This record gives sequence, structure tokens and C-alpha cells, in this order.
Amino acid sequence: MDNHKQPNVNLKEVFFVNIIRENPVFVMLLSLCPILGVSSNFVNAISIGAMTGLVILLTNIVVSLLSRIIPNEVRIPVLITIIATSVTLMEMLVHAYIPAMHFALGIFLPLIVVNCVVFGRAEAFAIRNKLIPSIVDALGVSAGILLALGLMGFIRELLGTGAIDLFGLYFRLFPEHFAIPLFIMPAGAFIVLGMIIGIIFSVKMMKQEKQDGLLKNKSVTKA
Amino acid sequence: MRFPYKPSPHIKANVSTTHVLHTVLLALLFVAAWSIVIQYINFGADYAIRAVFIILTACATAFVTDIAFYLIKTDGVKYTTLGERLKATLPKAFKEAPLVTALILALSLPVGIPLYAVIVATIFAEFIGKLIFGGVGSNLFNPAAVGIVIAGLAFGSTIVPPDAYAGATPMATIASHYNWRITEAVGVQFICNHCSLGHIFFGAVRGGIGEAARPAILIALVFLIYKKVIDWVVPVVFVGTVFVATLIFGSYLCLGLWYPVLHVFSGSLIFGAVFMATDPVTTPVNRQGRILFAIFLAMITLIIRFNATHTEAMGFSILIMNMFVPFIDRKTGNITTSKPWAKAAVLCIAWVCAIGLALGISIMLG
Repeated sequence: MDNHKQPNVNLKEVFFVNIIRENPVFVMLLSLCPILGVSSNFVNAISIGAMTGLVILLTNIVVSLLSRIIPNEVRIPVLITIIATSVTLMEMLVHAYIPAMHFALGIFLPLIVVNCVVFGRAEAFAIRNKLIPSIVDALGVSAGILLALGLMGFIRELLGTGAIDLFGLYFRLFPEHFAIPLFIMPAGAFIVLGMIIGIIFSVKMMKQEKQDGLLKNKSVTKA
Repeated sequence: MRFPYKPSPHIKANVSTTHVLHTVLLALLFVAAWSIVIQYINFGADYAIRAVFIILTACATAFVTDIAFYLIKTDGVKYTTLGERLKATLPKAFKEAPLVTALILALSLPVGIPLYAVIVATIFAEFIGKLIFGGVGSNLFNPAAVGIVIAGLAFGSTIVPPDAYAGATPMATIASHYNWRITEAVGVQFICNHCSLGHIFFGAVRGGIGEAARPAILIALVFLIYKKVIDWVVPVVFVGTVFVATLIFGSYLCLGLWYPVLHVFSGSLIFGAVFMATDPVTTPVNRQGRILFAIFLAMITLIIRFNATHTEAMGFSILIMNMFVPFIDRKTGNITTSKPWAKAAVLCIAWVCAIGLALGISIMLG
């Protein structure tokens, strides 16, 4: 694997590209299990996002350190073993130290092991990059996931219950009987996710059209 | 002898989308007016005023949603003033037929629904059901059915507030308490007391706004068929399938002929059959496909009625069948080559299968 390593990567680019432009959830449509399952509530969404981020960080570090000795032919089983180990580790730690969070997230905590983002980052980035870029990449992806989950949780809790609980900071936007319970149901997750993806893609297309228009104008003036 | 000759296209009748939508709108307005009057006669001015408010709210919301959407959506043209922009937007908003969607939706909602729920349901129906897909003509799902389902799911708990307007309606009790399987004498007594067939037909039973106007719906059906706006086979096959299936189910429960009639005339079944199952955009293109659509629509409606506790099955079944419309269209697309007896055989097999499935599932689960 050594000759595959890319020595020079722009760290700033690696970090920021994952937040909006290649957001793992809204653009690449990965990590949909926690997005659809746990985002009915802001606190839970942020918790599962943070846990996923920690797992990505751990696996990226381990994989990029071990990438020299992992044979290319068996890299997928090895990566899966590493991911499963770190998820189990995280789950045990959470169970021991934050039992409330373990209770609230339930099955979705061990389900991080099947989260595509974790495997995707290990396979696509960490195994062919050095330690520091891998850490930066993990942080960027975590920030992207946290942003997506936080946004979804915020919108769904606010519209679904009329109030929002920001880790103890509690405020109410409108009375509960005006709330739309559809948004905290699974169907609401699909609607909100689709809306956000639609907005992001239409903004992207508008930008693209603008760029194309400028290019066309330039070529016309040149001719 | 002279033959009058004109170059093609040879226009047979002056039918356009606008014409179709205006005719449907006229029929809907007639149904709305009739149901408001019936509400006034049967339950008093309170109900009538509430019904008027619900209908007006839905219409206004749908219109505002359309205008807002086209104000935000850029079309590459730059307008200098807001007035100019609004002027360019208005025809587009009118073209989306917001009033048809809003009226179908409002007439399917119960009188007791709070007005903000009407607003939310209409916005969902217009925006998610219609505008996102590219406007009327491109929508995959019936926008009014989207609104009805959203209202039922999102406000299921608050849609029946414990006030004077709507306790549990008799239909809701039949649906949720008896699941339409009226076996005990108590259930028969309940129906005799609260919703005799005459009461139901003339709208003396509380329920959706438009449900009160069953005679008007039938008149509107005749009018729309006469104007060739809707295909008569869809409501006829749909209601006929429901009738035959519930006749069999009624005899299984040892009930009389009133049972299938109760099924046909209760809830928004007839309203949905006339105004939602015949929507030209979200139903199959040719007649064989439409008959298949109507048969399986009846099947899903009955399965939901017999096995779920929802009062209204029409919204769900219309949406479910809308999903299969592209498939039906593809399978029945080549109508000129297939033989008439083959088409008839397919329809007969489908009809028997649908009734068998509906009754089999209901009896097995019940």
C-alpha cells in the first residue's frame, strides 16, 4: 500500500470539503440510519453524531497507522474488525459512564458499526493517507455528520413538538397543541431530509448555471 | 360535390386542460354549496360557518402557496419591480389549479378540524404533492390525497377535539370500534340509531364536509360524465367492486342487503370515486388501465377499512394506487395489438383476484 500514499494533501481542503460540498449525509447520502432513526430529538441527534464522529476518529487513526502492514487482499475484513472493535469499545464506555445516553440511543449505538461513513472513510481515505491527514479528515467528516444530524434534529423537534431542548437550555416557540406530530414520526424524517437535499442541490445547480452562463458569455465576447 | 377540407390537426372538440379544470371546479363548487346548505339545515349555523371558513382557508392557502413558490423559483427573467414580478407570477399560479386541489381537500376534512391544521395540510398538498414534482400534469400523487393523509397522520390526535363540533363521528366509531364487522346485535342497534341509510344519504350524519352532499356528488358525476371530463368506468367499476365484495362479506356475517349499501354510501368513498379516482393526471391513460386501477383501488380501500382503525381509507388507497399507475400504464400501453377477449379475460381475473384478496385477508386477520 505504501506507494499509494499521497504525500501532499491540503489539510484545510480535506477538512472543509466534508462539511458542505461533500457532506456525508446530504450530498453522499451515507449514514442514513441514524439520520432517519434518531434525529427526532436534538439532544439524541447530537449524541449519536458525536459518537459516530469519535468512532470515525478512532478507526481512521488505527487504519492509517496500520495501513503499512494490512495486505491489500484482506483489507476489507481487517477494516471491519477494526471498526467493530472501536464501536464495541465506545458502546461499553458510554454504557459505563453515560448510562442515560446509552438508554436513550439504544440499538442505534451498536448500529454505528454498519454506518457506511465509517467504513467509507477508512477505505477511501485513511488506508492511503498518513496519520495527520486522516485525523483531519475524520474531524471534517464528523463535523459534517454533526451538522446534518443537528439540523435534522433541530427542525424535527421544533416543528414536531413546538419546543426545543438544547442540552438543558429549553425554550418553546409555540404551544404544543399547534405542533405537527408528523415531523417526529419516521415519515417526517424522510420529508425533512428530502427538503434539505433538494435545497442543497438546487443551490448547487443555480451556481453551476451561473458559472456556465459566465463561461458562455466569455466565449461569446472572445469570439 | 364539395368536400370541406382543412389541414391537420383536426380538432374534434374544444377540450383543453383549462377547460377540464374549470368544469371540475364548477362541479366542486356545486358540491361545496350543497354541503354547506345541508350542514346548516341539519346541524345549525355553527357548522355551516365553520365549513365555509375551512373551505375559504384551504383555497386561500393553496393560492398563496402557489404564488410564493413561483415568486421564489427563478425562471431566468429579471423583473425590475415587485409588481411586475407578481404580475408574471399570477397566471402561473392560476395554471396550477390550486382551487381544485384545495376544494377536494377541504371537502374531505371533518368540520371539527382546527383551521391551522387545514393550512398545514393544504401547504403540504400543494407543495409536496404538486409543485415539487413540477406542477399540475407532472405530479405522481394526487395532491388532495396527500393533504388528506397528512391531516390524518399529523393531526390524528387533535383532529377530533372533545368539543361540540366533532366527537367521534358514527363512521369513526364503526371504523375503530367495530372495524366494519358488525356482528353483535349492539352494533346493528348502533347503526339503526345513529346512521340509517336515509340519514347517511342525505347528510344527517356527521363526517367530512363534502360527505354530507351525496345527492350533489351524484349530480356532479352525471354532469362530469356528460361533459366528457371523467371516464364513467372508474366510479362505476370502483363502486361496483366495493358493492359486490361487501355483499359477499355481509352474507358471511349474516347481514342483509343494507350492509353493502352502507359501505358504498358511508365515508368519502363516493366523493373519492368521483373526484379523486378520476384525476386525469394521476390515473392510467387508457381505459383498460383505468378499470384495473379502479378494481385494485376498491381492494385496497376494503382491506384498509376492514383491518385498520382509520376512518378514512380513500386517501391512503388513492396514494397507494397512484404508485402503481406507471406500472399499469406500461403493461396496458399496447392496447391496439391485444385482442378484446384477452383484455376482458385479464380484467375478469383481476376482478375476482381483487375481491378474493380483500375478503380473504380481512377474514383471515379478523
